[in-house]
Amino acid sequence: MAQEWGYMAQEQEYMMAKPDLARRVPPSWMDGPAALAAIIGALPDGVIIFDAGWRVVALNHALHALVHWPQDMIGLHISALPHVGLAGQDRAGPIQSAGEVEERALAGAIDDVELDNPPRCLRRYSSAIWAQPHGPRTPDECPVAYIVIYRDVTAEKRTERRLSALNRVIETTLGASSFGAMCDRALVALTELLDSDSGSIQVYDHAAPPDRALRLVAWHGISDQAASAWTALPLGAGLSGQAALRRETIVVGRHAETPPEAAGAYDLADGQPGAARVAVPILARGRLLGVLNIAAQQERSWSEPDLSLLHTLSNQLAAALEAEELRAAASAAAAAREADRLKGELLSTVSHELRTPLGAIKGFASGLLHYGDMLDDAQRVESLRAIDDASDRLTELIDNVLDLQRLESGRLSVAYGQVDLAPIVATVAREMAPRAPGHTINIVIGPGAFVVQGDARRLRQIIQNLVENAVKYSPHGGRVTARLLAHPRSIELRIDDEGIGIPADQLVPIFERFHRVDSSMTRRIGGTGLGLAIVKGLVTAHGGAIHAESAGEGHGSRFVTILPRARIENEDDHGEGPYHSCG
Amino acid sequence: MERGRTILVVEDDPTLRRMITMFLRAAGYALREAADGPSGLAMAREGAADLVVLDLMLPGLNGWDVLRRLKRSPATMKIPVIVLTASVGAALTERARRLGAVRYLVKPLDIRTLVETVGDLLGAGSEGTARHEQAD
Repeated sequence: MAQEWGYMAQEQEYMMAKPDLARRVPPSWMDGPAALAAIIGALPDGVIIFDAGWRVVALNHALHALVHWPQDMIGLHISALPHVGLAGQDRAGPIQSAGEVEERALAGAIDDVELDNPPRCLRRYSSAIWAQPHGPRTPDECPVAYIVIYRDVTAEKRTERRLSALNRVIETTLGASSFGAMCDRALVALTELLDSDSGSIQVYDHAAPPDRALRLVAWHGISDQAASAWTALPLGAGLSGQAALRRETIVVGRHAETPPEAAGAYDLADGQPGAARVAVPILARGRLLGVLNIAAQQERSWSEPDLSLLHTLSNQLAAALEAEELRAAASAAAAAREADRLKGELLSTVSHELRTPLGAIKGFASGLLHYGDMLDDAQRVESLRAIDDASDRLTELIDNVLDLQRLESGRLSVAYGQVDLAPIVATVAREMAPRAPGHTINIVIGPGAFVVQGDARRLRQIIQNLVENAVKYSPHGGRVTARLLAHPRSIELRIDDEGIGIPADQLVPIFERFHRVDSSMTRRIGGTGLGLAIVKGLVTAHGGAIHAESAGEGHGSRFVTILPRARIENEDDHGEGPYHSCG
Repeated sequence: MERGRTILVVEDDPTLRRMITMFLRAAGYALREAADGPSGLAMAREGAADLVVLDLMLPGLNGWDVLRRLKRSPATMKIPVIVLTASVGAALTERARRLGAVRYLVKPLDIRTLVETVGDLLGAGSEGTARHEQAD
């Protein structure tokens, strides 16, 4: 809307710049209508002269050529003239009141007149310069005659529109935040400015299979549903496919200089509807990047300026697409570098973590080999046990790394069934007890059902890992309590310990892989540094969430896991699922 | 067997500490052990060690700092120090040598290398085992 007003303002300025067009006619001329007719007949502008009562006194051929009024108009009152509306005055149709016209004449107004009413691109315009023969008058004086001069300003108006269109397209495209937004805005502006009905932009994807090489990225004036049927086209299909294949603009429309084979040969069916069409390949130094399409439902012609506007826009799109390609390449390179860095980091951390158990194996084994006879039986057994433990730790570390990698790449296979957590918690606690003689392991299982949807083995892994952590990080013993609480939509697993606790700033990063709360205490405790990252990954894979709470170092920790409750289903229907029963 | 020489082991990993002390003790030495830098330094200053086996990757005060302080203090500067590290590299070896370490052993540790190195430094080899010269 704002654009439209801007446009009108320009128009007025242009008209006002030509005040000399207002002619003033001496009264004596009215005595010789023939002389008058001869004079105005020679003028290139359309001229019509009214007498003081607004009846037609004279008019010229140029006027007829412009407005197509009836040949014999002499003596007609202005209200009888099929006068077209005064554009910009919110008015159309015959002028009703002579007084109103007179007001305009007295004011020496210049009105913008649309001469006919075809599609906007074919419309013709004239300015109507209202003039009356005597200079500025007092209201009581009566004018003798009025002259209206019509000048064809169609060409100027078209040029102006073109310039303003170009401006709009450039502003639109430059101001867009992304390539997609730029395409959308460009198409809206373009279809409006070229008086067409729809437009689309396809991008050439050289990496895609040939039958899907042209990918629709933006459309306007086409329903999303229709567009969804044409999301990808082969090179050469339809008008746009042909334009892409030939790397040249193809114009279909009245007067269009289409290649001879084009008229009937092109299959227009490429998702872009319309009888009149232009498909412009988007090229960067001859390299195909995409196609810009514009279409009008009705048959029409496309002017040179229309086409040059399309080419300008196509060049802009090419520049934007190239920039987009560079950006994409840069971000892909950055992502690859980041992935490499993470991989390197993982590798270096893993190899560091592997060294500790490996060090034990190598040391005890080489010691046994060379100095075994210096050890007593108990020391030999201790050495062998240390090797055994370290081997287990290596296995665990490798399993963990693989689990984590699978979790992170979304390849962890999780068998889904309905799993009751209560027996799992009981089993884990029972098995843990002999391994943690200094601890009291309590389980508190509230009333209600504790059935979740998931993989029994993985759910057990979660619980076991959390209980083991609780024991491990309370080296001085104490109580470890595993609680199950039933909520309406979820099940809460809460594991408390009385151990070394977690500093407040570590409650979140503790779930990152290889993150360690670095203190002499935790180092002494050891671990792969992957357990909680895996637990979190597994919980997330089950649609749940986990967080840690602690009153601070030395004040114990609490790990709260929330898992969505399984929907209660008819067991008869789902009896075959890997339902994990109590046991 | 008892040589009357005392070795201080500064290593934070309990398994590795246990391993080192067990075999050095079996080889006839008296052992002191510390799980971190400050307590290791304190034991060395008490004059309780004829040799220090020092892990460079320690929590808190790291092994490099412990080494630097041992070599700066007149009370401990003459105690030979064997450093243990998981990192291999000429630059690290050179740095350790410059700071005053006599030997630089890379983990995973071969116990025989350690025992022989200790034997070399304390001037008394255990019977029947071949000398193994550790290259600097």
